[in-house]
Amino acid sequence: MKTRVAPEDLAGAAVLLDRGASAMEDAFARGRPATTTAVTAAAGVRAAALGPLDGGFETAYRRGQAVAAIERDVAVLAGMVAAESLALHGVGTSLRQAARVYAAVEDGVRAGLSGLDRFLYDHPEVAEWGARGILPVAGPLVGLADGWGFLNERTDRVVALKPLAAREGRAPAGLADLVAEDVEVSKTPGLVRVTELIRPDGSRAWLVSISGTQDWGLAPGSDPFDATADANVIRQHSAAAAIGVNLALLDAQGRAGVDTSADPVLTSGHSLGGMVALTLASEPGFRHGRTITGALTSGSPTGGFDIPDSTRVVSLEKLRDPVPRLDGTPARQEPNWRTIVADPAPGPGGRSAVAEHDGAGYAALARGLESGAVPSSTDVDWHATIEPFVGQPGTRAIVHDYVLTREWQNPRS
Amino acid sequence: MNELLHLAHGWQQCADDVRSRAHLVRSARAVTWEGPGATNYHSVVEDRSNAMTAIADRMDALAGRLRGLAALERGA
Repeated sequence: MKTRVAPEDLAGAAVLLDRGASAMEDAFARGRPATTTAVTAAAGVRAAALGPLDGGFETAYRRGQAVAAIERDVAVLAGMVAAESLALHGVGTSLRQAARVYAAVEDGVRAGLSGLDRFLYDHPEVAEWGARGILPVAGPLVGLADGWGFLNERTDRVVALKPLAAREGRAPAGLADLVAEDVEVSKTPGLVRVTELIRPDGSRAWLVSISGTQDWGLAPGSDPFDATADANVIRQHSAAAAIGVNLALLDAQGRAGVDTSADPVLTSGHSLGGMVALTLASEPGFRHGRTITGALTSGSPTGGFDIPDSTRVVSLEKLRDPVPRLDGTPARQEPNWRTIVADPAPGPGGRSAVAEHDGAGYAALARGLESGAVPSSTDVDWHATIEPFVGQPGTRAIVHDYVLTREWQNPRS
Repeated sequence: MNELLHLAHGWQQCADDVRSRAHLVRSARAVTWEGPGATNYHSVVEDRSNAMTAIADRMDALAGRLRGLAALERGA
Protein backbone atom coordinates (compact mmCIF):
# COMPACT_ATOMS: atom_id res chain seq x y z
CA MET A 1 0.00 0.00 0.00
CA LYS A 2 1.43 3.34 -1.03
CA THR A 3 1.52 5.94 1.74
CA ARG A 4 2.94 9.42 1.45
CA VAL A 5 1.92 12.13 3.86
CA ALA A 6 3.44 14.30 6.57
CA PRO A 7 1.28 14.22 9.73
CA GLU A 8 2.32 17.79 10.54
CA ASP A 9 0.94 18.88 7.13
CA LEU A 10 -2.43 17.34 7.98
CA ALA A 11 -2.42 19.03 11.38
CA GLY A 12 -1.53 22.31 9.66
CA ALA A 13 -4.41 21.88 7.20
CA ALA A 14 -6.76 21.27 10.14
CA VAL A 15 -5.66 24.58 11.65
CA LEU A 16 -6.39 26.32 8.33
CA LEU A 17 -9.92 24.89 8.27
CA ASP A 18 -10.61 25.76 11.91
CA ARG A 19 -9.37 29.30 11.37
CA GLY A 20 -11.50 29.54 8.24
CA ALA A 21 -14.58 28.64 10.29
CA SER A 22 -13.77 31.17 13.02
CA ALA A 23 -13.01 33.94 10.51
CA MET A 24 -16.31 33.30 8.73
CA GLU A 25 -18.26 33.40 11.99
CA ASP A 26 -16.49 36.66 12.95
CA ALA A 27 -17.20 38.19 9.54
CA PHE A 28 -20.89 37.36 9.81
CA ALA A 29 -21.04 38.95 13.28
CA ARG A 30 -19.20 42.07 12.02
CA GLY A 31 -21.82 42.44 9.31
CA ARG A 32 -24.22 43.19 12.21
CA PRO A 33 -27.08 40.95 11.08
CA ALA A 34 -29.44 42.10 13.86
CA THR A 35 -28.83 45.76 13.08
CA THR A 36 -29.24 45.07 9.37
CA THR A 37 -32.63 43.48 9.98
CA ALA A 38 -33.75 46.28 12.29
CA VAL A 39 -32.64 49.10 9.98
CA THR A 40 -34.19 47.34 7.01
CA ALA A 41 -37.44 46.81 8.87
CA ALA A 42 -37.53 50.51 9.69
CA ALA A 43 -37.08 51.27 5.98
CA GLY A 44 -40.01 48.97 5.31
CA VAL A 45 -42.16 50.86 7.78
CA ARG A 46 -41.20 54.12 6.11
CA ALA A 47 -42.08 52.68 2.70
CA ALA A 48 -45.48 51.54 3.95
CA ALA A 49 -46.19 55.07 5.11
CA LEU A 50 -45.49 56.59 1.67
CA GLY A 51 -48.38 58.31 0.04
CA PRO A 52 -49.04 59.09 -3.65
CA LEU A 53 -47.06 62.32 -3.40
CA ASP A 54 -43.94 60.45 -2.23
CA GLY A 55 -43.63 58.41 -5.41
CA GLY A 56 -46.73 56.35 -5.42
CA PHE A 57 -47.54 52.78 -4.60
CA GLU A 58 -45.04 51.36 -7.09
CA THR A 59 -42.10 52.86 -5.20
CA ALA A 60 -43.52 51.57 -1.92
CA TYR A 61 -43.88 48.14 -3.48
CA ARG A 62 -40.28 48.07 -4.78
CA ARG A 63 -38.92 49.12 -1.39
CA GLY A 64 -41.01 46.47 0.33
CA GLN A 65 -39.59 43.84 -2.04
CA ALA A 66 -36.02 45.01 -1.31
CA VAL A 67 -36.66 44.88 2.43
CA ALA A 68 -38.06 41.34 2.20
CA ALA A 69 -35.07 40.20 0.10
CA ILE A 70 -32.59 41.64 2.60
CA GLU A 71 -34.29 39.97 5.55
CA ARG A 72 -34.30 36.68 3.65
CA ASP A 73 -30.59 37.08 2.81
CA VAL A 74 -29.67 37.65 6.45
CA ALA A 75 -31.64 34.59 7.59
CA VAL A 76 -30.21 32.38 4.85
CA LEU A 77 -26.68 33.61 5.59
CA ALA A 78 -27.07 32.78 9.27
CA GLY A 79 -27.96 29.19 8.37
CA MET A 80 -25.20 28.86 5.77
CA VAL A 81 -22.53 30.18 8.13
CA ALA A 82 -23.61 27.89 10.98
CA ALA A 83 -23.69 24.81 8.74
CA GLU A 84 -20.40 25.61 7.04
CA SER A 85 -18.70 26.28 10.35
CA LEU A 86 -19.74 22.83 11.57
CA ALA A 87 -18.54 21.24 8.35
CA LEU A 88 -15.14 22.96 8.53
CA HIS A 89 -14.60 21.96 12.15
CA GLY A 90 -15.69 18.40 11.28
CA VAL A 91 -13.13 18.10 8.49
CA GLY A 92 -10.53 19.63 10.82
CA THR A 93 -11.25 17.02 13.48
CA SER A 94 -10.97 14.20 10.93
CA LEU A 95 -7.65 15.59 9.74
CA ARG A 96 -6.31 15.71 13.29
CA GLN A 97 -7.33 12.08 13.86
CA ALA A 98 -5.66 11.06 10.61
CA ALA A 99 -2.52 12.99 11.62
CA ARG A 100 -2.39 11.13 14.95
CA VAL A 101 -2.73 7.72 13.25
CA TYR A 102 -0.04 8.51 10.69
CA ALA A 103 2.22 9.89 13.43
CA ALA A 104 1.84 6.65 15.40
CA VAL A 105 2.60 4.58 12.30
CA GLU A 106 5.59 6.79 11.49
CA ASP A 107 6.75 6.23 15.03
CA GLY A 108 6.71 2.52 14.30
CA VAL A 109 8.44 2.82 10.95
CA ARG A 110 11.15 4.95 12.49
CA ALA A 111 11.63 2.29 15.12
CA GLY A 112 12.54 -0.07 12.27
CA LEU A 113 11.66 -3.71 11.89
CA SER A 114 13.95 -4.67 14.73
CA GLY A 115 11.88 -2.45 16.97
CA LEU A 116 8.49 -3.40 15.55
CA ASP A 117 7.51 -5.75 18.31
CA ARG A 118 8.61 -3.19 20.89
CA PHE A 119 6.40 -0.69 19.05
CA LEU A 120 3.45 -3.13 19.17
CA TYR A 121 4.17 -3.69 22.84
CA ASP A 122 3.88 0.06 23.44
CA HIS A 123 0.96 0.53 21.00
CA PRO A 124 -1.09 -2.72 21.21
CA GLU A 125 -4.14 -0.90 19.84
CA VAL A 126 -2.45 -0.68 16.44
CA ALA A 127 -3.05 -4.42 15.93
CA GLU A 128 -6.75 -3.76 16.38
CA TRP A 129 -6.72 -0.83 13.94
CA GLY A 130 -4.84 -3.05 11.51
CA ALA A 131 -7.34 -5.87 11.89
CA ARG A 132 -10.27 -3.55 11.21
CA GLY A 133 -8.61 -2.41 8.03
CA ILE A 134 -7.16 -5.74 7.02
CA LEU A 135 -10.02 -8.17 7.70
CA PRO A 136 -12.20 -6.88 4.84
CA VAL A 137 -9.38 -7.68 2.42
CA ALA A 138 -8.30 -10.91 4.15
CA GLY A 139 -10.91 -12.94 2.26
CA PRO A 140 -9.71 -11.96 -1.22
CA LEU A 141 -6.08 -12.38 -0.14
CA VAL A 142 -6.72 -15.88 1.18
CA GLY A 143 -8.65 -16.56 -2.03
CA LEU A 144 -5.59 -15.46 -4.01
CA ALA A 145 -3.42 -17.72 -1.88
CA ASP A 146 -5.84 -20.58 -2.57
CA GLY A 147 -5.07 -20.30 -6.26
CA TRP A 148 -1.42 -21.09 -5.50
CA GLY A 149 -2.29 -23.94 -3.17
CA PHE A 150 -1.48 -21.95 -0.04
CA LEU A 151 -3.46 -21.64 3.19
CA ASN A 152 -6.15 -23.99 1.96
CA GLU A 153 -7.10 -27.39 3.35
CA ARG A 154 -8.29 -28.98 0.15
CA THR A 155 -10.86 -31.74 0.20
CA ASP A 156 -8.33 -34.30 -1.03
CA ARG A 157 -6.58 -34.09 2.34
CA VAL A 158 -7.79 -35.83 5.48
CA VAL A 159 -6.52 -35.89 9.02
CA ALA A 160 -5.18 -39.16 10.37
CA LEU A 161 -5.15 -40.06 14.03
CA LYS A 162 -2.36 -42.03 15.69
CA PRO A 163 -3.02 -42.91 19.34
CA LEU A 164 -0.05 -43.17 21.67
CA ALA A 165 -0.07 -45.42 24.71
CA ALA A 166 -2.33 -44.14 27.47
CA ARG A 167 -0.54 -43.39 30.72
CA GLU A 168 -1.20 -42.18 34.22
CA GLY A 169 -0.72 -38.44 34.64
CA ARG A 170 -1.26 -35.74 37.20
CA ALA A 171 -4.66 -34.14 37.65
CA PRO A 172 -4.55 -30.37 37.17
CA ALA A 173 -4.63 -28.34 40.36
CA GLY A 174 -5.88 -25.09 38.86
CA LEU A 175 -5.94 -22.61 36.01
CA ALA A 176 -2.15 -22.51 35.68
CA ASP A 177 -1.92 -26.27 35.17
CA LEU A 178 -4.58 -26.14 32.46
CA VAL A 179 -2.76 -23.40 30.53
CA ALA A 180 0.60 -25.10 31.08
CA GLU A 181 -0.81 -28.28 29.54
CA ASP A 182 -1.83 -26.36 26.40
CA VAL A 183 1.69 -24.98 26.15
CA GLU A 184 3.19 -28.44 26.67
CA VAL A 185 1.21 -30.08 23.85
CA SER A 186 2.27 -27.28 21.48
CA LYS A 187 5.86 -28.57 21.66
CA THR A 188 5.13 -31.83 19.78
CA PRO A 189 4.02 -31.68 16.12
CA GLY A 190 0.39 -32.65 15.66
CA LEU A 191 -0.17 -33.54 19.32
CA VAL A 192 -3.58 -33.38 20.94
CA ARG A 193 -4.08 -34.53 24.52
CA VAL A 194 -7.26 -35.87 26.07
CA THR A 195 -7.02 -36.21 29.84
CA GLU A 196 -9.59 -38.48 31.40
CA LEU A 197 -10.20 -37.39 34.97
CA ILE A 198 -11.69 -40.06 37.24
CA ARG A 199 -12.87 -38.51 40.47
CA PRO A 200 -13.02 -40.34 43.82
CA ASP A 201 -16.77 -40.88 43.40
CA GLY A 202 -16.15 -42.59 40.07
CA SER A 203 -17.53 -39.78 37.93
CA ARG A 204 -15.52 -38.62 34.97
CA ALA A 205 -14.55 -35.32 33.35
CA TRP A 206 -12.65 -34.80 30.12
CA LEU A 207 -10.01 -32.21 29.46
CA VAL A 208 -9.03 -31.60 25.82
CA SER A 209 -5.71 -29.74 25.44
CA ILE A 210 -5.16 -28.36 21.94
CA SER A 211 -1.91 -27.20 20.40
CA GLY A 212 -1.16 -23.71 19.12
CA THR A 213 0.44 -22.97 15.74
CA GLN A 214 3.49 -25.16 15.20
CA ASP A 215 4.29 -24.62 11.52
CA TRP A 216 4.19 -21.13 9.98
CA GLY A 217 4.71 -22.26 6.37
CA LEU A 218 2.11 -21.02 3.87
CA ALA A 219 1.61 -24.39 2.18
CA PRO A 220 -0.44 -26.94 4.14
CA GLY A 221 1.92 -29.64 5.40
CA SER A 222 1.51 -32.79 7.43
CA ASP A 223 1.09 -30.94 10.74
CA PRO A 224 -2.54 -29.77 10.92
CA PHE A 225 -1.65 -27.13 13.55
CA ASP A 226 -0.16 -24.72 11.02
CA ALA A 227 -0.75 -21.32 9.43
CA THR A 228 -3.26 -22.92 7.06
CA ALA A 229 -5.30 -24.00 10.08
CA ASP A 230 -5.13 -20.40 11.38
CA ALA A 231 -6.43 -19.12 8.04
CA ASN A 232 -9.24 -21.67 7.90
CA VAL A 233 -10.37 -21.20 11.49
CA ILE A 234 -10.41 -17.43 11.12
CA ARG A 235 -12.14 -17.62 7.73
CA GLN A 236 -14.73 -20.33 8.30
CA HIS A 237 -14.37 -21.62 11.89
CA SER A 238 -13.34 -25.05 10.70
CA ALA A 239 -10.07 -26.89 10.18
CA ALA A 240 -8.78 -30.42 9.82
CA ALA A 241 -7.23 -29.98 13.26
CA ALA A 242 -10.71 -29.56 14.78
CA ILE A 243 -11.87 -32.75 13.06
CA GLY A 244 -8.83 -34.55 14.43
CA VAL A 245 -9.46 -33.32 17.97
CA ASN A 246 -13.03 -34.57 17.72
CA LEU A 247 -11.77 -37.99 16.60
CA ALA A 248 -9.30 -38.06 19.48
CA LEU A 249 -11.98 -37.35 22.09
CA LEU A 250 -14.27 -39.90 20.43
CA ASP A 251 -11.54 -42.53 20.66
CA ALA A 252 -10.60 -41.73 24.26
CA GLN A 253 -14.19 -41.74 25.45
CA GLY A 254 -14.84 -44.98 23.57
CA ARG A 255 -11.94 -46.63 25.38
CA ALA A 256 -13.53 -45.76 28.73
CA GLY A 257 -16.33 -48.21 27.90
CA VAL A 258 -18.95 -46.26 29.83
CA ASP A 259 -21.62 -43.70 28.98
CA THR A 260 -19.80 -40.39 28.80
CA SER A 261 -22.63 -38.25 27.42
CA ALA A 262 -23.18 -36.46 30.75
CA ASP A 263 -19.48 -36.08 31.60
CA PRO A 264 -18.32 -32.47 31.61
CA VAL A 265 -15.87 -31.62 28.82
CA LEU A 266 -13.50 -28.64 28.72
CA THR A 267 -11.78 -27.70 25.45
CA SER A 268 -8.65 -25.63 25.98
CA GLY A 269 -5.84 -24.12 23.96
CA HIS A 270 -3.32 -21.36 23.46
CA SER A 271 -3.51 -19.12 20.36
CA LEU A 272 -4.68 -21.34 17.45
CA GLY A 273 -5.52 -24.00 20.04
CA GLY A 274 -7.96 -21.60 21.70
CA MET A 275 -9.64 -20.86 18.38
CA VAL A 276 -9.98 -24.60 17.71
CA ALA A 277 -11.38 -25.03 21.25
CA LEU A 278 -14.04 -22.41 20.47
CA THR A 279 -14.68 -23.88 17.01
CA LEU A 280 -15.48 -27.23 18.66
CA ALA A 281 -17.50 -25.74 21.52
CA SER A 282 -19.70 -23.96 18.97
CA GLU A 283 -20.03 -26.95 16.62
CA PRO A 284 -23.31 -28.94 16.99
CA GLY A 285 -21.66 -32.07 15.59
CA PHE A 286 -19.01 -31.98 18.32
CA ARG A 287 -21.55 -31.18 21.05
CA HIS A 288 -23.92 -33.97 20.04
CA GLY A 289 -23.92 -36.69 22.70
CA ARG A 290 -21.56 -34.71 24.90
CA THR A 291 -21.80 -32.13 27.68
CA ILE A 292 -19.41 -29.34 26.76
CA THR A 293 -19.39 -27.29 29.95
CA GLY A 294 -16.43 -25.05 29.25
CA ALA A 295 -13.80 -23.66 26.92
CA LEU A 296 -10.53 -22.01 27.94
CA THR A 297 -8.46 -19.84 25.61
CA SER A 298 -5.22 -17.95 26.14
CA GLY A 299 -3.85 -15.40 23.68
CA SER A 300 -6.54 -16.21 21.09
CA PRO A 301 -8.70 -13.93 18.93
CA THR A 302 -12.21 -14.86 20.12
CA GLY A 303 -14.48 -12.57 18.08
CA GLY A 304 -17.19 -14.18 15.94
CA PHE A 305 -17.61 -17.47 17.81
CA ASP A 306 -21.19 -18.24 18.79
CA ILE A 307 -21.07 -20.35 21.96
CA PRO A 308 -24.30 -21.78 23.47
CA ASP A 309 -25.32 -20.38 26.86
CA SER A 310 -24.78 -23.75 28.54
CA THR A 311 -21.03 -23.53 27.92
CA ARG A 312 -18.90 -21.16 29.99
CA VAL A 313 -15.83 -19.61 28.42
CA VAL A 314 -12.77 -18.09 30.06
CA SER A 315 -10.36 -16.17 27.86
CA LEU A 316 -6.97 -14.93 29.05
CA GLU A 317 -5.56 -11.95 27.21
CA LYS A 318 -2.46 -9.92 27.84
CA LEU A 319 -2.98 -6.25 27.18
CA ARG A 320 0.23 -6.01 25.15
CA ASP A 321 -0.19 -9.21 23.15
CA PRO A 322 -1.36 -8.11 19.66
CA VAL A 323 -2.72 -11.56 18.68
CA PRO A 324 -6.01 -11.50 20.67
CA ARG A 325 -6.70 -8.12 19.05
CA LEU A 326 -6.41 -9.47 15.52
CA ASP A 327 -10.16 -10.05 15.35
CA GLY A 328 -10.64 -6.28 15.63
CA THR A 329 -13.31 -6.73 18.32
CA PRO A 330 -13.30 -5.79 22.02
CA ALA A 331 -12.59 -8.38 24.72
CA ARG A 332 -15.78 -10.40 25.29
CA GLN A 333 -17.66 -10.00 28.55
CA GLU A 334 -20.95 -11.87 28.36
CA PRO A 335 -23.08 -13.81 30.87
CA ASN A 336 -21.31 -17.07 30.00
CA TRP A 337 -18.04 -15.55 28.79
CA ARG A 338 -15.36 -13.95 30.93
CA THR A 339 -12.27 -12.39 29.45
CA ILE A 340 -9.45 -11.67 31.88
CA VAL A 341 -7.28 -8.87 30.53
CA ALA A 342 -4.05 -8.38 32.43
CA ASP A 343 -0.95 -6.28 31.95
CA PRO A 344 1.79 -8.14 33.83
CA ALA A 345 5.35 -6.86 34.06
CA PRO A 346 7.52 -7.78 31.04
CA GLY A 347 8.88 -11.33 31.17
CA PRO A 348 12.35 -12.59 30.23
CA GLY A 349 11.79 -11.44 26.62
CA GLY A 350 11.62 -7.82 27.73
CA ARG A 351 9.23 -5.28 26.20
CA SER A 352 8.40 -7.36 23.15
CA ALA A 353 5.01 -8.07 21.57
CA VAL A 354 6.28 -11.44 20.30
CA ALA A 355 7.38 -12.42 23.81
CA GLU A 356 4.00 -11.28 25.16
CA HIS A 357 2.27 -13.93 22.99
CA ASP A 358 4.51 -16.71 24.18
CA GLY A 359 2.62 -19.62 25.75
CA ALA A 360 4.94 -19.86 28.75
CA GLY A 361 4.11 -16.26 29.54
CA TYR A 362 0.41 -17.12 29.60
CA ALA A 363 1.11 -20.04 31.94
CA ALA A 364 2.98 -17.60 34.20
CA LEU A 365 0.08 -15.18 33.96
CA ALA A 366 -2.33 -17.92 35.04
CA ARG A 367 -0.11 -18.68 38.03
CA GLY A 368 -0.03 -14.99 38.90
CA LEU A 369 -3.81 -14.74 38.65
CA GLU A 370 -4.27 -17.72 40.93
CA SER A 371 -1.87 -16.40 43.54
CA GLY A 372 -3.22 -12.87 43.27
CA ALA A 373 0.23 -11.56 42.28
CA VAL A 374 -1.13 -10.30 38.94
CA PRO A 375 -4.04 -7.90 39.09
CA SER A 376 -6.77 -8.37 36.50
CA SER A 377 -10.32 -7.27 35.90
CA THR A 378 -11.43 -7.58 39.52
CA ASP A 379 -15.02 -8.78 39.13
CA VAL A 380 -14.22 -11.54 36.68
CA ASP A 381 -15.11 -14.97 38.09
CA TRP A 382 -13.51 -17.78 36.12
CA HIS A 383 -13.53 -20.44 38.80
CA ALA A 384 -16.93 -21.94 37.90
CA THR A 385 -15.73 -22.73 34.37
CA ILE A 386 -12.78 -24.86 35.45
CA GLU A 387 -14.15 -26.15 38.76
CA PRO A 388 -15.25 -29.61 37.43
CA PHE A 389 -11.70 -30.24 36.15
CA VAL A 390 -9.32 -29.09 38.87
CA GLY A 391 -8.35 -29.33 42.48
CA GLN A 392 -10.21 -32.45 43.61
CA PRO A 393 -7.89 -34.57 45.77
CA GLY A 394 -7.79 -38.21 44.86
CA THR A 395 -8.65 -37.61 41.21
CA ARG A 396 -6.89 -39.98 38.76
CA ALA A 397 -5.70 -38.62 35.47
CA ILE A 398 -5.33 -40.90 32.45
CA VAL A 399 -3.54 -39.17 29.60
CA HIS A 400 -4.53 -40.13 26.05
CA ASP A 401 -2.12 -38.57 23.56
CA TYR A 402 -2.78 -38.56 19.83
CA VAL A 403 -0.69 -37.37 16.92
CA LEU A 404 -2.64 -35.84 14.06
CA THR A 405 -1.33 -35.68 10.51
CA ARG A 406 -2.73 -34.31 7.27
CA GLU A 407 -2.66 -36.95 4.58
CA TRP A 408 -3.83 -37.46 1.03
CA GLN A 409 -7.32 -38.89 0.85
CA ASN A 410 -6.27 -41.18 -2.02
CA PRO A 411 -2.57 -41.90 -1.50
CA ARG A 412 -0.65 -42.12 -4.75
CA SER A 413 1.63 -45.05 -5.09
CA MET B 1 -30.08 56.04 4.25
CA ASN B 2 -26.52 56.60 5.46
CA GLU B 3 -26.95 53.76 7.87
CA LEU B 4 -28.01 51.44 5.02
CA LEU B 5 -24.92 52.42 3.05
CA HIS B 6 -22.75 51.96 6.11
CA LEU B 7 -24.18 48.46 6.62
CA ALA B 8 -23.68 47.69 2.94
CA HIS B 9 -20.02 48.70 3.23
CA GLY B 10 -19.63 46.45 6.28
CA TRP B 11 -21.12 43.42 4.49
CA GLN B 12 -18.90 44.10 1.48
CA GLN B 13 -15.82 43.96 3.70
CA CYS B 14 -17.11 40.76 5.34
CA ALA B 15 -17.57 39.22 1.90
CA ASP B 16 -13.98 40.11 0.98
CA ASP B 17 -12.69 38.56 4.23
CA VAL B 18 -14.65 35.34 3.76
CA ARG B 19 -13.53 35.07 0.11
CA SER B 20 -9.93 35.55 1.12
CA ARG B 21 -10.33 32.92 3.85
CA ALA B 22 -11.94 30.53 1.34
CA HIS B 23 -8.78 30.93 -0.74
CA LEU B 24 -6.66 29.97 2.28
CA VAL B 25 -8.84 26.94 2.96
CA ARG B 26 -8.40 25.90 -0.67
CA SER B 27 -4.64 26.05 -0.17
CA ALA B 28 -5.01 23.09 2.23
CA ARG B 29 -5.43 20.99 -0.92
CA ALA B 30 -1.70 21.41 -1.48
CA VAL B 31 -1.01 18.84 1.25
CA THR B 32 0.49 15.73 -0.30
CA TRP B 33 -1.49 12.78 0.99
CA GLU B 34 -1.42 9.34 -0.52
CA GLY B 35 -2.64 6.50 1.65
CA PRO B 36 -5.64 5.47 3.75
CA GLY B 37 -8.14 8.29 4.17
CA ALA B 38 -6.77 10.37 1.30
CA THR B 39 -9.39 9.30 -1.24
CA ASN B 40 -11.79 12.17 -0.75
CA TYR B 41 -9.57 14.67 0.98
CA HIS B 42 -8.92 17.01 -1.94
CA SER B 43 -12.54 17.10 -3.09
CA VAL B 44 -13.78 17.64 0.49
CA VAL B 45 -11.48 20.63 0.95
CA GLU B 46 -12.50 22.02 -2.42
CA ASP B 47 -16.18 21.64 -1.51
CA ARG B 48 -15.61 23.54 1.74
CA SER B 49 -13.77 26.31 -0.06
CA ASN B 50 -16.53 26.56 -2.66
CA ALA B 51 -19.16 26.72 0.08
CA MET B 52 -17.30 29.60 1.73
CA THR B 53 -17.09 31.41 -1.59
CA ALA B 54 -20.86 30.95 -1.99
CA ILE B 55 -21.31 32.58 1.43
CA ALA B 56 -19.09 35.49 0.36
CA ASP B 57 -21.19 35.86 -2.81
CA ARG B 58 -24.34 35.91 -0.70
CA MET B 59 -22.82 38.65 1.49
CA ASP B 60 -21.96 40.62 -1.66
CA ALA B 61 -25.54 40.26 -2.82
CA LEU B 62 -26.78 41.47 0.56
CA ALA B 63 -24.52 44.54 0.34
CA GLY B 64 -25.93 45.19 -3.12
CA ARG B 65 -29.52 44.98 -1.89
CA LEU B 66 -28.75 47.36 0.96
CA ARG B 67 -27.29 49.84 -1.54
CA GLY B 68 -30.32 49.36 -3.75
CA LEU B 69 -32.67 50.04 -0.87
CA ALA B 70 -30.65 53.15 0.03
CA ALA B 71 -30.96 54.32 -3.59
CA LEU B 72 -34.72 53.79 -3.51
CA GLU B 73 -34.95 55.84 -0.32
CA ARG B 74 -32.75 58.54 -1.85
CA GLY B 75 -35.00 58.69 -4.86
CA ALA B 76 -38.13 59.04 -2.75
